[in-house]
Amino acid sequence: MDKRHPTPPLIACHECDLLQQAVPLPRGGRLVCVRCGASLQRWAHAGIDRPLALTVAAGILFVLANCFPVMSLQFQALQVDASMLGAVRVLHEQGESLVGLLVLLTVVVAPALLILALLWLLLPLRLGWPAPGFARLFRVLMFLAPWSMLEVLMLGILVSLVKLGHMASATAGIGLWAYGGSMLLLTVLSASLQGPVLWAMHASVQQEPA
Amino acid sequence: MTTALRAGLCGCHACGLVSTLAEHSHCPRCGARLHARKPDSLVRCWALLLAACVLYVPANLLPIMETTSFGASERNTILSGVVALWTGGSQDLALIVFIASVVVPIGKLLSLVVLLLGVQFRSGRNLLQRARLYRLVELVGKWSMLDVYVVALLAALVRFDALMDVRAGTGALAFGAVVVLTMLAAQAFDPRLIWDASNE
Repeated sequence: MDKRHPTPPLIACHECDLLQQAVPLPRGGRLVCVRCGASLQRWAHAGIDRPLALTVAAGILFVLANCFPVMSLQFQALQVDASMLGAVRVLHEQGESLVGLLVLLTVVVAPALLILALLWLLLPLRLGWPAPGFARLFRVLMFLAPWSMLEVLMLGILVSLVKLGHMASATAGIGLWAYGGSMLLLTVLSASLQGPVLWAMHASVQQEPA
Repeated sequence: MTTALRAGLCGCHACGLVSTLAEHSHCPRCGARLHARKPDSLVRCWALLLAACVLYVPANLLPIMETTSFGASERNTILSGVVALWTGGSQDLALIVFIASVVVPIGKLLSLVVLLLGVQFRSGRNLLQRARLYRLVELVGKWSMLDVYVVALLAALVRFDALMDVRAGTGALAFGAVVVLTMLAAQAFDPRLIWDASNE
């Protein structure tokens, strides 16, 4: 038994610092801090296939989301398409580069890096290799998570569709559906992928030299 | 009931592993720097909160977008945008935008002040309620970004030159900055400080 891991495993609540002992989770269950009620751990599938499949699917949809327009607007004989990258470019042209940068970081860069980091973590695990830079990537993942705002973008697109409906005919594009799918998959993924499970798998891969 | 700090232990903020503070300056599993409490949590949170409060003024006073149609130009701020949606017949949507763009930012600024004052005065009251307030602040933080995306999309789509044109305004930048700053402030705040008062 590794000395650095006290047994039975201890959990320090990340919100109130209370020390508690982890217990095995029943299927679908979760651990909640007895003092402050913060969610400590959630049950997750032990296998790697499910999160990996979700990540790959989210990645494909995310690429599509950025290749196609999210919305189109028709006014008389004119039609304008807008992709998210196109919107960033327009903001830059209008002299609001920083707003563009904010959009770029929160709906393109952060989700893209998130998906890439997940692939980097999961793919070697699936193949039974020790992933290079696993620990660093895990921390990158934790850092990025709050800055990916796809779900907010979906609501923004909905509001825009209604607003534009008043002045011209606005239609949803392929990009919108792809963004939506990508967001849903990433949400399911975050529920089915838990840190402790990931670390346990990483530890077991490292113990068996290839 | 004892805390990790009292036991000389520390839970890693990145991966959660509990290790002894005396032996490790970095997490033995993931390599993140270990600290029992976020360093300078209160000072950093106050500073970011103050900056957010200052920027909240231009965010609401400056136009977030400028609409030109057939030569007539109209400037919308956050609030006038909500009013336009309401009078335009989309009351339900106006309510969503109002909550995301007005209620959430103000609620966040006030909540962070309450949380910071509670810790500063070592209040031992309403601990659970304050812990829940913090969780709520973290949860709703990003939703204020809604208006920034709406402005970006409208500016990208409504480009029919003289007929109809939408341009993003400086208010959008100030508003986006408020959202980012309050998110950073919430991240800088250490909720464990709320509970430290009860352990003394």
